[in-house]
Amino acid sequence: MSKKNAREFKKQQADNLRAIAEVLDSLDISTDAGLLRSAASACSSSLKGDDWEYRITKLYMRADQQKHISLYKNTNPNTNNIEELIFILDVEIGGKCVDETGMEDPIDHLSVECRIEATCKFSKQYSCAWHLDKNIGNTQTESKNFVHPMYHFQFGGRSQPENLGDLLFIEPPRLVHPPMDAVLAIDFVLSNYFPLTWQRVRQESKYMSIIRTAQHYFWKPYLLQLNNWSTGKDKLSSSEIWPHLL
Amino acid sequence: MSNVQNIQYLYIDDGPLDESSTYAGYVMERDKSGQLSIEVKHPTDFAVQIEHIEQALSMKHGLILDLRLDQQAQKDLEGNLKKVDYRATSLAQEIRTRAAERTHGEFPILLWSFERWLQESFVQDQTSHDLFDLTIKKERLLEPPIANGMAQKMIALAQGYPIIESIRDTYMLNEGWFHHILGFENLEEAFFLDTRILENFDNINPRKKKPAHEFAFFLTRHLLEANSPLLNANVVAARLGIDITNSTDFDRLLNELFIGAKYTGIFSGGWDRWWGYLLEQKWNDLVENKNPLRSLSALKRVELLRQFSGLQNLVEAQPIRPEYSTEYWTVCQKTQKPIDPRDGFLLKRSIAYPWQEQSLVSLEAFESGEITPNNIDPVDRRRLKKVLS
Repeated sequence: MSKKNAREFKKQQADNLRAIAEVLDSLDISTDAGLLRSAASACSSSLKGDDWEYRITKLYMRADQQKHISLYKNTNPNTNNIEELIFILDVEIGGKCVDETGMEDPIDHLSVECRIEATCKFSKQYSCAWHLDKNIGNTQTESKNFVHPMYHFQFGGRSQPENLGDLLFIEPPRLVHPPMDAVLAIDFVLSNYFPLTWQRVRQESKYMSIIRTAQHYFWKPYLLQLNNWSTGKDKLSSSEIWPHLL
Repeated sequence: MSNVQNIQYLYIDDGPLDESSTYAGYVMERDKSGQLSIEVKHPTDFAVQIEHIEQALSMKHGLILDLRLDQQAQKDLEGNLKKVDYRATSLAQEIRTRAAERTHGEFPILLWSFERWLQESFVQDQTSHDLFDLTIKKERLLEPPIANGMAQKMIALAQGYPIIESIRDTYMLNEGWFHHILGFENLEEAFFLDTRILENFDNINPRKKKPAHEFAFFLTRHLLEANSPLLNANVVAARLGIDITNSTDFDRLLNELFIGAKYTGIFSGGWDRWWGYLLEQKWNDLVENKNPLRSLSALKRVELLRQFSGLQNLVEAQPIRPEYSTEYWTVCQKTQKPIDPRDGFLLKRSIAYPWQEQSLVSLEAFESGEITPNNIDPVDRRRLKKVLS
């Protein structure tokens, strides 16, 4: 890849991160968008030729009792008892720069983890986590016998409460899910946990443009590869994404 | 580009000369280098005053004005007892306009005043005083650290203005040339910056040179006095998990381990700042990318810093309240103490440029009554009210 194209790709990702930082700042959610700007700096200045990467640690988004938490149903503990609910995102992503056709997957390594912490009456803390990883084809791990879609979504994470009570925790299932960079991860969190905010913001052309850019780079190659199954062209590659396909 | 050595400021005030000289004296004596001198004079008729200033400033490097020049009658340059009929703002406006026409020989203009309404709010001031490089209440000059800071800034401003003009004249047709002002040798070094910072001054018309004070204001207001991408020492200490008051090796740590992150651009002599991104990069190199700063407790950060630097007099910062997290990332805007943003309350947005961060305060900041719930961003107000009740 030419130096100029690699730089373009990194700049595009950096600009996108900065743009979503601005959008986040304008929403009705208490957060620290500065981390996205730092990640943008890291991304645009990674000088290692074709390689790109950035890392975001502890990007928090705080849900408000009236605006957000009260909408949740079937929660444990009951929403009336939840005084504070915070979503904390960690994103580690990197790979090789690609051109703008959206044919190639730019990701070599990916780890998105979302920790959710609730503080309830009498300062009792609850938490849970989910994460999305790229399977790097490592068959030597302890869980080698279990199905590992290339990008998979899983409940649980590196940081979990010690006291799981009656909750049974086992690693599977690993759900097939498209990759997410920081932009798509934020969109995911907004859509699932701040639905009214998400519905509003996703009608704004700036936000739409940001998400489309991210989907173009990270979901188009994924969908193209998956589509090989229906065209019958290269079924093997689509089963990397979705091992269940035959 | 050699630095001007003897910095002379002209200070115009309608108050009694000995009173004005006292304030000037406070500032001059804080300057250990002995470079700074301030000459005090009474104002005179507008036109005469302008000419006098223009003349004087061929030999002087900066101007200080009191805001209300029209309040006390004093003997003017010709020995006549009179009051002038203009304020500092009119004078400064005229000077700046002339400078814009001339495009060289500009100098910093400071405002020193007793005016009660001269609010030195810690919330970024982006509209008023776009004529003055620095504004301060005279009473504050009685505090040694303030007078000290003022002296250093005055020297830095006076030295920086001619350099800005020189850099502008040499490079302004190049894309992203503003990186020279920021102390970067080439554009590559400045890649980590929000491109809009550099693009702000990309000038396509060589015949329309922007006057130096526009660059100077942008630099001081939106970079040096903003909370990002440059950090002050308190925020650097917070990110490193360090108690700045009790860690005697803090300065050494910065000069030895993190010197690469120091801001070395124009006016750096008056503002000690560090690039947040370069600070983090250095940390990542030290830990070989394994433990991001943000995820470590202050204790762990300081332990590692002692290891890396060999310096022992580094103490981890205690949280503002015992229940607060020690994964500090910034400071409470009011108390300047380290805080994890999730424990803070966002202040109302008063941001001029998209790369600037919203500031926040801790609960402690409300105790003095200077901050009220009305200063807080609506997203955090309900949470605050709940905690305060």
